[in-house]
Amino acid sequence: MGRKWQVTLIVLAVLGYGGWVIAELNTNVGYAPEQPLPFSHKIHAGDNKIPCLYCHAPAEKGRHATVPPMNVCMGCHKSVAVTKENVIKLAAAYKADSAIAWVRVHALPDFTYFSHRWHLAKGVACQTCHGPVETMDKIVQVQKLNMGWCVDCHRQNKASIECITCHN
Amino acid sequence: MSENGNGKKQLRYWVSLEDYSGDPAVEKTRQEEFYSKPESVMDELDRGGTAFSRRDMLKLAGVAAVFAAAGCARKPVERIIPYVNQPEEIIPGVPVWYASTCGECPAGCGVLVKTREARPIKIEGNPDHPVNAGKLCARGQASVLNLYDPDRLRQPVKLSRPGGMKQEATWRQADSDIAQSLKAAGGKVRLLTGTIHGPARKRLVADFLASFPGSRHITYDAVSEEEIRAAQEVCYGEAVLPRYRFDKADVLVLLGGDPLAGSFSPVEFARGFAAGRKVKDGSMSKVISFEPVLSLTGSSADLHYQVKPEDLVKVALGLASELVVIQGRSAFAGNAAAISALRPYSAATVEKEVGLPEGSIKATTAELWSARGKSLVYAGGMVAKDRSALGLEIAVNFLNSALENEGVSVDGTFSPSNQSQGSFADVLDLIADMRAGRVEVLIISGANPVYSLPSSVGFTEALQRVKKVVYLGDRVDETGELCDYVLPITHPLESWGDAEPQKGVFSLMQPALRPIFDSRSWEDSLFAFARTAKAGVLGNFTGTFQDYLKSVWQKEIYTRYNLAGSFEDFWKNALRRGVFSVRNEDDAATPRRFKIEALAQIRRPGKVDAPYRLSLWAGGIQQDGRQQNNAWLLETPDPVSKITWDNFVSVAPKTAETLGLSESDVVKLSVGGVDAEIPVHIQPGMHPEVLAVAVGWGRKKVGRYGDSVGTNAFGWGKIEKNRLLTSALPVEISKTGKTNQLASVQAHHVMEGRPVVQEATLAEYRENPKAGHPEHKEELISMWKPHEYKAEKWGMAIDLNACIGCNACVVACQSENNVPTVGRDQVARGREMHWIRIDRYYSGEPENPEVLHQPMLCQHCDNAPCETVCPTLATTHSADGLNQQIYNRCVGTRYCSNNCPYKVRRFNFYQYTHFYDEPGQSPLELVLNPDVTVRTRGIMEKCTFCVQRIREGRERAKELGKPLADGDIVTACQQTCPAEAIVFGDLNNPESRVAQMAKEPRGYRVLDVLNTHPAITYLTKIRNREKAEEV
Repeated sequence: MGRKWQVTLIVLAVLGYGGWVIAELNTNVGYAPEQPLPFSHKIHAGDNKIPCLYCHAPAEKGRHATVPPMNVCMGCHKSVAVTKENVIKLAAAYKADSAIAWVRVHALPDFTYFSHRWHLAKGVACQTCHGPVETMDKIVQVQKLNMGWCVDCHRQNKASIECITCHN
Repeated sequence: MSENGNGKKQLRYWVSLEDYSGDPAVEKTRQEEFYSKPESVMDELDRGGTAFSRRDMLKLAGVAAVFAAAGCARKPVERIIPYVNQPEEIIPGVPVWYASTCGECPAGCGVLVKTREARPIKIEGNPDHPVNAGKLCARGQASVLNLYDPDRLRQPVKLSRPGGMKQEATWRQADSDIAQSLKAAGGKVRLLTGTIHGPARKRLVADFLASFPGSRHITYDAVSEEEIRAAQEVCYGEAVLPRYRFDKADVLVLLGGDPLAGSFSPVEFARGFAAGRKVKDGSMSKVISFEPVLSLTGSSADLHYQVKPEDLVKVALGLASELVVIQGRSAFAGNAAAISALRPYSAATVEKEVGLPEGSIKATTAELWSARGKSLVYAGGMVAKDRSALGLEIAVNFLNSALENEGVSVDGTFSPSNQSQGSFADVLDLIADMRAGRVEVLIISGANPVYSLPSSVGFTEALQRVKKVVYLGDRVDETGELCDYVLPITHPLESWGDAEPQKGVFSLMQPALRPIFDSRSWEDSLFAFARTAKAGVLGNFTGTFQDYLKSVWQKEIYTRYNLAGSFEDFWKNALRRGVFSVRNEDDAATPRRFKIEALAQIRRPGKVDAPYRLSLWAGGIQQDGRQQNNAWLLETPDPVSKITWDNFVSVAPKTAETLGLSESDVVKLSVGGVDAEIPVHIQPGMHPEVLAVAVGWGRKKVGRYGDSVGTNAFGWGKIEKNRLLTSALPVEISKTGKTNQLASVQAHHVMEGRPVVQEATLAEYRENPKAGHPEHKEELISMWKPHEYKAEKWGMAIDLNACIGCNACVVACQSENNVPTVGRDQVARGREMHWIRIDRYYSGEPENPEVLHQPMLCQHCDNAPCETVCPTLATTHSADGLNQQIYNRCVGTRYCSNNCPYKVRRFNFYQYTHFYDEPGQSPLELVLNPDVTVRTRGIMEKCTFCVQRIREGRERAKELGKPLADGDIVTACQQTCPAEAIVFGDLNNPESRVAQMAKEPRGYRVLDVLNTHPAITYLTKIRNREKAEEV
């Protein structure tokens, strides 16, 4: 093999590896934006042991876990911690019929169809993908949530790795 | 012609006249890799230029690098906005279905509306509904797009007449102004609507009229069937519109009617028609058509005769004469009145005068008589509406009575139809009243007379004599702009309402969402007027139309039919099912006695004193033009001509030659002094002395997509003796020297003369069930290891006998799969995006060809040629046999499309979907199905076998803890197909319908000589004839 070829191969290998590194680093791990209200999962899910599905009930029934509607918040906060500053803000927003625009942390691309329901049905814990939420004051993304990461888990659990399982 | 495997001459198929005559341009297109190329760059290359200079290339590379780097930046912040109070029934991501009634035409089909997060995204037929049994036409499927039409009127408008200065109005202001006029009118009030049925709606109209004594209601349908009703009155004593039972007709004779397209109950008719076309135990129905224009129904006929529109009545009388006078058959044999009326129309005379082949009348009569009691003679529609239309319908009634079809395939007593009630004579009376100042307030709803009446009736001028004109419509259209008020009405998906399409079938319409705009149903507007005027019954009614509807249903259905259980239970059940039918489907109609004196009313058929006569027709896609702002429908090809985005005048090939016309030449047509220009389409199968134009085009004020698309053919209608004639109109045709390139889709995916469609006659089929298709014997060796399908293997079977070519599947697929529309220019370049298309093939001579419709979609081949050439593995094979297309992996090399022998892959040459999120287009984006990716520019797409529906079906089965059963999963095309020509399922399950059909001797796979192993089986088209030559 001529020297030219060797150089070409090395350059390609470096570029390829570089591309992979960039792709791996360019995940949203560590993303923890400020939220309009400093809702703490630690207080709700950790200290008070409210089950995840109490608020994120649709996760069991459909694709989306959803941020709970405000009437769910107010179910408790009509009587619980009503004097706290942020709860007052929440109640005011509810009364004004204006929803709080939370900042999305865990996001998959629009061409990816992920269903919470069937992952829950298979017994996948929320924490597998979302990390130890019950310890977080502010939600942070802990897992890469990129395709390689999904497929790894699918492989380990002998789940489908058909393209159209997630893409259609 | 070539020999096929059976040693039989194979028919030569052609898709256009250029193809037939071997035009070198078609040959050149065939040799091209793509139907059209990216314009400028490729043209430059063709001329030998280099298109890009080195500098340009570097500049572009630089820009690309910058964008690539920018692409690595963090994604934009996304917001999650939860409900404040989440409605109980909504689970985000899970559809909620509502049962309702389609409001696009008065056929009154039942629908199920799929909503996601409270917005409708898809409409499907309601399987419990007796009229459409789960099926829908293209227009019904497209209805959901109308809901989000950005050109809908968003608030009440007051206009100043004349001049049309628009200003916004408030509801209160409009109501009080109109109420005042109503009170002051002293009964000089007229309500002009389209066909209305449904107990509550009819009661509302009656109550409204009673609230203003002296007022009248006029029903007007632009496309009406009033001759049928009139003839029924003459023949049987009551002006009913019978329910035609195509499902009970083993022999069907069409005399200029097109029941499957522009008729008053197209889905029901298509269902019945196609059921008979399917081959069962070696037999199938026989369809014989006599018509001037090659219609959709006529294109499925086994025998097709060309007849001038004014001669249709002679054919009907010829058939009757042969049957009763010559052969002396039927109960009328020997009846002096019948004999004297029919004697002049002996078969030989008629055949000679009309130009039919010798013996055709006798043969048709023999077919009809042998199937007496199980046959049907049908005439209707615009093509039959000439001077002799009433006579034609009387003759048809006589034939049906003589053939003992009355009470069997013609139901005029048990459950007759309410689906078309318009009366043109009433409209003329109204105009006379308006002219004479006998109308002070005119309320128009569900009709667009300024557009659809010929200007010679003087509706527009008469309108100026009316003090107050109120238009209840969804836009300021042709009629709206000449009114004082345009009050926006809700879309049927936003409305309460009811329908009684056929006697005893009560259909309920309920809203699937709250009105998007500041609009009000026309019913509630009538309420508001009466209430503001404090007039009559309605003035005292305190609730809304919803409450009124409920109370009427309680009185007129629940109480009247003595139903068990509480009314609330009945009501909830009716809402859930969408329909309440008191019709016992096993009961039959009773035959009525034909009044023989009716025959005397048939006037001697006249002659048209002109070399050419014009016939107007209403197609199944645009029909009367009320949906002309619907881009899905505009881009749906006309089923026969395959032309999109325009109407045209159809001219027979011979006539085009005589007149020196070529395709897309613009001609001027002049009918009784009304001139308009229109492009020419040379249509095989037309009568050479007939020109034909579809109505429903050429709207001026419909919106951004439909404005000025096509020519308004309603304008050529002629008034004669209080009747509207739309056929046999003497016409002058002259060239203008201009051309207007028609955007036809048929030549796009040319098939190189390969054996793609296959057919046989019934006689051949009986002899050899495998007739028509060459046996594919040797198994070719494949380079690839065969796939293993351990669980399901999805496949499809399509019965070419059942397919009528209506295009409902095309629109259903578009709705389900977010298929974009691309516009006329892109269609002309061969870039339409439809995942499923209906290919229309002709065979035989252009003067009177045979037609074959073939749905073509991704064949999901086992050895898929596309999969092996994709450099990025964007298209791969799944374990259940799907050929998967992964958009995020595709880089748009188009190798797959080039390698696909079926030409079913579609490339996004532009960002076709961007119009969904352009600011002025809102709320159009809401129509998108959130379960299907919206594709971007530069990637390939194609049919997925509705993979999201497969997933949904699997999940439903899992939820119920049951294994997947056959029929649990239906694709969107199959779901809506009125002909039930498409069957989807698991080929690995030997019990499944699809596996059974795949094994049928008629089954063949397209181009399986290429060893592609398609997952779709087509069933050979069988023509109900003895010999191949007999056409």
